[in-house]
Amino acid sequence: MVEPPGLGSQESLPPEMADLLSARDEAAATLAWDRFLDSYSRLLLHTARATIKNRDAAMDAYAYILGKLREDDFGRLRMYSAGGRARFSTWLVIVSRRLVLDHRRSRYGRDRGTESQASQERLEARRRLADLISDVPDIDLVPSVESADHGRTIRLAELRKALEEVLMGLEPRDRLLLSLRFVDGLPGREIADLMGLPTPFHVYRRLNAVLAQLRGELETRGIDEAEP
Amino acid sequence: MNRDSDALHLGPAELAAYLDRTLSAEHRATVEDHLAWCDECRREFRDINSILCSARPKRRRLARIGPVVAAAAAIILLIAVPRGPSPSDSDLEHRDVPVILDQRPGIGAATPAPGQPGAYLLNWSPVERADRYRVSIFDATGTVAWRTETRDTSAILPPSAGLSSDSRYLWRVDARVGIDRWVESTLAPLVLGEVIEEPVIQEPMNREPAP
Repeated sequence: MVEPPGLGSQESLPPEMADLLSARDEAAATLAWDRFLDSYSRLLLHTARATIKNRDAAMDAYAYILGKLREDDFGRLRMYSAGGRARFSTWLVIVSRRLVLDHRRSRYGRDRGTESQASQERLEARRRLADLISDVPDIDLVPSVESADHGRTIRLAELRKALEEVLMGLEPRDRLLLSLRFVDGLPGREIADLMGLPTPFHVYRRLNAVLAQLRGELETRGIDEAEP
Repeated sequence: MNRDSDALHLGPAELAAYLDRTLSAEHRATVEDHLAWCDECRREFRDINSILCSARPKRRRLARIGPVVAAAAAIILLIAVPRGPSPSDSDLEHRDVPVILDQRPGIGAATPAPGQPGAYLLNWSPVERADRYRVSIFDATGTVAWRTETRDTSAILPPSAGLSSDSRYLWRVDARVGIDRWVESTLAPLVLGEVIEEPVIQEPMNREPAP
């Protein structure tokens, strides 16, 4: 996604960053880099360890992060000064985690097993959501158009379209709430933390309201049964 | 929930601003719309939030819970505190006298205990609400040479304590005014075998309740 212009107004740079980016010569840059590491090496190491559980691999990733951040006269770090409304530490964690993942993929390739398992879990979660909102069959389980029973296929396609339309009618925040709960299968406590809600009770209360809204929308479209 | 949005993902600055809750409402809705459909960005959102929470322990969560806790405390106070007439109307004689935290036991003198050869009588002034007093005598090195506890405002230092009349000691009285709450007297010299000075009892700072 392209960085929107709204992010242009930047907060003042942390002093370590300001020193680093304004260093005039190699000696000043080295000094500023050391100062930068004094302040942020713990956060970078924490990010590497949180992303890769294996201790040795995490240390390799940490070294990789440092190398990449220093590359091209601190080119990656200069990206922050080019526009950041967020705190530098938040931004740095995101950039570092991406570097760790790049490093892991370059060395070990994508983890197909985990991705396949995650995909299966997401499928199960979608089924749970479909069960909750009116027994509409899961859109991913809808047979292809080549199915023998054309009438049934058409009806299922209509159901799929209706469900997508109803979901699109929700507020983006409510769609995110549904995704976190029924696609990712997160508990209320974690969702509350992610969405800035005070307690898990607020999560479940909102979920109930959204599910009721979905049921109502589907019923107005004449959908209240699982089978077409 | 998959939509054809995986080709474009949230940039670091955008995701960071969303996590820091510094985006405008409109921009926030755009990011939430993307997060709802994009499994990969949502995964990143969750992971980054987890890393930040563990790196900044409890700060975020407490910041959010704080107002809720404060509101709950206010409600409890409103419900639990009896709403009687105002203090000006009430009978103040039935109110508890507040504990005066700066009140300390006043150290008296150590005098030979009548009828008990070799024993000394230690006196101190009472402290309101104190249900127990602890008397400690320290030798020149600061080590506790003798200690006792009593409900009274005096104690007998027996000869069996083994204190020498040639040595100098300090003593102190602690008064217990609540669960694990003690107020201490000042340290006073204790010389056995003679009355070191006229007993000067520090009067407790009693405060009369307002009429």
